[in-house]
Amino acid sequence: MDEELLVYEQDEVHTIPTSQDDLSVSGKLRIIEKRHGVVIEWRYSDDETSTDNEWAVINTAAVTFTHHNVSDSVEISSPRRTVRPISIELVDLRSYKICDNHSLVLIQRDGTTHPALAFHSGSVHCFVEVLLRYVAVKKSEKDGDLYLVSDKRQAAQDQELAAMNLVPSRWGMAGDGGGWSGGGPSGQWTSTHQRVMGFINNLKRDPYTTAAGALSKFYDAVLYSDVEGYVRENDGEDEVAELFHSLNGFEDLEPGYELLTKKGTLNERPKVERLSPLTHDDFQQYVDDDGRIHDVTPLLDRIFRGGLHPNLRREVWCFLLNHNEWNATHIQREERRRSREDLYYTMKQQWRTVTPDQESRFSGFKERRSLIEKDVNRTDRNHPFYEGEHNLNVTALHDILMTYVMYNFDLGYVQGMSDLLAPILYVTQNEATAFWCFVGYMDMVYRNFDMDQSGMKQQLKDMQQVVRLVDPELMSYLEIRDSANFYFCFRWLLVRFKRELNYANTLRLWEVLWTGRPCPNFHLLLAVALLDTEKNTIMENKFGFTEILKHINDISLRIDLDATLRKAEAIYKQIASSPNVPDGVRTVLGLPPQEPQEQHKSNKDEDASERRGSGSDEDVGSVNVTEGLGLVGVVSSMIGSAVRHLGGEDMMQASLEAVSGQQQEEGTSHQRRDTEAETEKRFETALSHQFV
Amino acid sequence: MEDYKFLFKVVLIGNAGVGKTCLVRRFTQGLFPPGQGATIGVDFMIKTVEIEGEKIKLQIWDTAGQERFRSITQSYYRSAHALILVYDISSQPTFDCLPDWLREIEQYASCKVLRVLVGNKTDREDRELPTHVGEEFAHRHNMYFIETSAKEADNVEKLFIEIAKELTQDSKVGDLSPQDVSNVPLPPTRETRSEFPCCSRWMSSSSSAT
Repeated sequence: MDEELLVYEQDEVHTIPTSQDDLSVSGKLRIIEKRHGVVIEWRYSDDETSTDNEWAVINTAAVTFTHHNVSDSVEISSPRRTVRPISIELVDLRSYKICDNHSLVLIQRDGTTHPALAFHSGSVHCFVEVLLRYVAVKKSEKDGDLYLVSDKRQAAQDQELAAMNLVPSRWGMAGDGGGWSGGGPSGQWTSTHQRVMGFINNLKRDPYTTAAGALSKFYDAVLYSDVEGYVRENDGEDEVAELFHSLNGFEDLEPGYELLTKKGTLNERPKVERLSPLTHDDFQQYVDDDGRIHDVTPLLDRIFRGGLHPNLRREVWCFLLNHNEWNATHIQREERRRSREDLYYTMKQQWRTVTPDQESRFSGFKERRSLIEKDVNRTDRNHPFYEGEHNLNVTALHDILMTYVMYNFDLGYVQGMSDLLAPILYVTQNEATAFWCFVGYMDMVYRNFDMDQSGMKQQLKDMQQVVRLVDPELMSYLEIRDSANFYFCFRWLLVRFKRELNYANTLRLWEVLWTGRPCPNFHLLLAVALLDTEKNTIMENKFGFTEILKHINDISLRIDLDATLRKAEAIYKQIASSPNVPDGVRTVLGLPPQEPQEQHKSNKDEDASERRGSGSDEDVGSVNVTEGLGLVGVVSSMIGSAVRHLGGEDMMQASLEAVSGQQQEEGTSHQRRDTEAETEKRFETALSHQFV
Repeated sequence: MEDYKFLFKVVLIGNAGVGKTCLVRRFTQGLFPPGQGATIGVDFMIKTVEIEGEKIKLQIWDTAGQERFRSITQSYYRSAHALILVYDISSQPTFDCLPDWLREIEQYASCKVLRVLVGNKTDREDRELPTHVGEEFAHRHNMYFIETSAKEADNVEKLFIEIAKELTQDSKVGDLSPQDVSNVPLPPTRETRSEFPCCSRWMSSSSSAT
């Protein structure tokens, strides 16, 4: 019944493999005018059967793969994946990226980020030309590959309004930093006008949320700008002026923020090189005739720099994961191996001999067992090593996890552990060895599985500290967008990027992380590096919390590991070489503390973050707001209370963070208690969450 | 620019392994992906449906089921318009945990949230929970009730469409001006309407109803 008009069609538009083991799938890209609107579609070439079906699975038989056994192998093949057709209503298209004049990534308003498509025939520019009939497109000023889409009629209307000069100049000026410096005058009016109209539209549609949200942003803006030292304490008139200055963009304040935000104070980021993987011959140079490895430091440095050749993993992972001791001889190692194997099978017998009758009165055991059963049956089942029914490797996964429950019953089994074990079993190919290597890995990351999740929450807080230092602009953006809790990094951190990378890359990353180089918590810098890569996409698309989460989840398996490792290390070097790095960050990255006078600041910082973390003493927090803040403090605290009443605690989160930042600044100028004991305590805390 | 009338946030909760992700994937993508790894953290999918000629967007959130992750997933309940509490009809323990989940909901979700109880995996032959047990539980706790099979695509569409309908209707009622509302004998708030849960209506055309 739909009348459809095909306005664009291009054959041989391929998906781009994410690794060398991945296969490209060819398809057709179309633009279709349908009754309800224009739709962009990409479909698998042979999938002509169902143009109306929203999604269909590619015939998996068409996607072939080869698997090399690891023991004799060179490279590992990735699990086969289903490629899903793309269908986007044009109204949902937020932006697109064109890389190297050749590949196209479509990004939706809700953050959905589609796989990259390469034009093997035709040109991406023809596609864009047709697209331009329906939408207006603006090239991003920050990211040369990114193009932002807006409604054509709206754009035209804005032009007219702009020409009528309806919006006073002040609004335009603070509203869009980019437009002011780059574009002509009409550009600023347009964006400001859009924001105002957007706000009014939202207010009509959902007055409660819009008003509360705006108040909350306003509150943020006030406090944040103060933190940055932009609003002067005793200059009431200027304060008020600045407040209204930043008020103009209710809908999206962050361009105003760019004006207010200090540029980072760090040194320049150096260039970092990586090496090829360590080979068997390379490795032998570190081993003496008896099998001892004396010089561990340069070996670990080398592994950090390039990872391990696949055929070396089975041996060297046992060292990295503490199953083997570096300075033991072949003979001692064999003894240890045997005794640990015995111990493994003893513990295995323990759970195997629990009868169903016993189990009926042992609910803690039963719960753990049933969850393990559920999870091993869905862990990496698309990977050749674990696929198929009655797969013995799946049984081994199960047995190892059950034995781990007996080894550490208090921790038990937590979801995510099977993800950490599966690659280890795949590499070691031996149940008892895999168990002990897994024990070694868990010793590094057990805090990820804390009952109250405090280990994960600490890491998210640490992320916040590092991002605030490395990229204050991104941090203030995330704060305004209620995303400063970094929840979207949760999966990255919990299973150490296992879900974001294919197998080959997961193995590479893990062995690099296990070296403990170049610093503790290097995995956090990896996350910071990834965010740095995605920053422009997130900010230019004006993604909020949900869109960021969607985008982050969608770029899984599309991460360039080598580039990310290089960037992460460069960020480390950048921080390590810079003066005035807050001690909070120094502690996280295992850097020595700074000069005494700098320490007070970060002690205050920690006090403040503890207060923020407790959450229950909200009223105490808001009382503190009014202390010594002058007009801005009083006004914003009043708004803050209003927001709290309207919107519940959630909205206070970001505001409180800004408050704690404020107090940190205050602390620098007053009260300088001597804090040696505290410094020590901080180191202890730091040690407790060092991972490698 | 937005061409849809409403956007509703629907959050799925329930024990690990009851099939939350499969319900979402079945509805949004028409797939039943075997070997899909346990959900870590949260994810969401969007699907547009048409209710009485109007476009409604459902933003369907999928959460990790294990108790340990609740402190993270809780933060996603608050703004939910509907909560789908899922158990596995072939697993008594997943049903026994429902009161815990209800306490979670009371504590962290909006009191106006639409609550639906779902007994999933009706394709399984080792059923441990008869339909009437779930139905009674739902009735006692003022929830809607439906049994589904993500694997067989049974009742999945219906589950989400009914939710979309309810929420759309609620929003329209909410749009009425005060005068209009005063003409309605009983204000159609969630509390009063839940006294008469429509579970019988939901179940009546369900193929898996007893």
